[in-house]
Amino acid sequence: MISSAVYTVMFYGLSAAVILLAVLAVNLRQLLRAALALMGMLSLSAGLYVLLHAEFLAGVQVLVYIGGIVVLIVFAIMLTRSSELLEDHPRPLAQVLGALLSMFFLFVAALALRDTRFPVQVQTGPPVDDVRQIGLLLLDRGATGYLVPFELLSLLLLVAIIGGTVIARKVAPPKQPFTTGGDARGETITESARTQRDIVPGEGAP
Amino acid sequence: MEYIFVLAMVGLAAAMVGGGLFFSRLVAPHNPGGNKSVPYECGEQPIGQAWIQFNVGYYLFGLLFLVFDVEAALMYPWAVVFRSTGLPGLIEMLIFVLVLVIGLIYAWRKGVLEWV
Amino acid sequence: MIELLARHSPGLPEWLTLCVVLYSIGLYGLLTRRNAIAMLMAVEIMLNAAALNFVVFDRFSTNQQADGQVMALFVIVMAAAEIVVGMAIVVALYRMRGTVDINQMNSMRG
Repeated sequence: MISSAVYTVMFYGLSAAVILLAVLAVNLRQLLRAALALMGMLSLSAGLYVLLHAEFLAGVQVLVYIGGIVVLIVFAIMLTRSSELLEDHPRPLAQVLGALLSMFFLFVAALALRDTRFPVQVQTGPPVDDVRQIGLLLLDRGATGYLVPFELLSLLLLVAIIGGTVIARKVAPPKQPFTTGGDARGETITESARTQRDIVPGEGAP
Repeated sequence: MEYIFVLAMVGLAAAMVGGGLFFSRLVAPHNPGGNKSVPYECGEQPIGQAWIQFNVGYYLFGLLFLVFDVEAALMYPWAVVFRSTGLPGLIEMLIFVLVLVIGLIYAWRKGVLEWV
Repeated sequence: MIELLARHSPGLPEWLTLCVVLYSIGLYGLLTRRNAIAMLMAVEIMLNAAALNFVVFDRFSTNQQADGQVMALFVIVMAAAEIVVGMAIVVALYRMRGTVDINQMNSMRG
């Protein structure tokens, strides 16, 4: 009784906070503040995962989203700085059209939700060990396992490393390969020429 | 509700931080201006603006960190079931790690790991 | 009071409504923002809503396995890969063009 009342309060409180922070994240002009709102929204989503008894995903959410993705977003904001670019001034027409379109989407999805009956039940009984289940599913080679998608994820991450590196890396100015190489070679050439010159008089002397 | 203590801890922490801020605003003298509004840089005089252009090396290191962060998060469920999957699971995870090591070697050869 | 709260504990429709509202907010941001970084942030909100949806269906499904959580894990990993490449493109564009306003990215226009 008490626990389901707490569940209700937590759900509605976290939902309200998450929605408020998401609205802030898409509306704040200052992008650093928007990134901060996004971070708060993602960490409260981790709270929602805990509420759904998906503790492992909550941990992954904090580790990957907040520890990695938001940090990258902040780095990108810092890299593309200059105060007038940091402010985002949406056009009023785009704002109205975007609001209308997203409200339309929300309306259609709400209608679909109202008219659909999902064959669901709340899981009862002893809680399953989620991390164990996830690990078994990820490494399962059978028809219901996710081994191939799991191995493909490593390929996706490899592509992300290479792509991100190639695109973001500053193209280094050429290290003047011709002058240094040419100098060195020229020196050896003059050296040999001098020796030749030394030799030639030596040979011409007798 | 095994998280009731976590909840209590969150409430307590928020109350301590918020209460501290509230009482300091209530009690402390409020007299802004002058050198007080200068950013604190360990006693140094701040030079230039805060909005300097950051080095792209930060981004490249963050990129590599994020990818291997994800890898560590994916290794955790494997470590939990390591005893029951045994050698096949180890081989599968080794393939996964080796593919990412290729990316690390690529970044290394391209000089991403050197700070310029 | 406690009885009232316990009787109204959220089921599947409430959770799905939350996901849909979050997704719509992300869609709104994607349509209205002009800054490329802000657009990618809106995409992150939408991806987060999708991952949350997977977890909700995993929790409320009759399947006792954690398939939905595996899918949510994949979504999170793909969001990470997406943001790595997307932000790299934004940084490179800024270096080339000096702006991150997508309305000025029209060099491909015929």
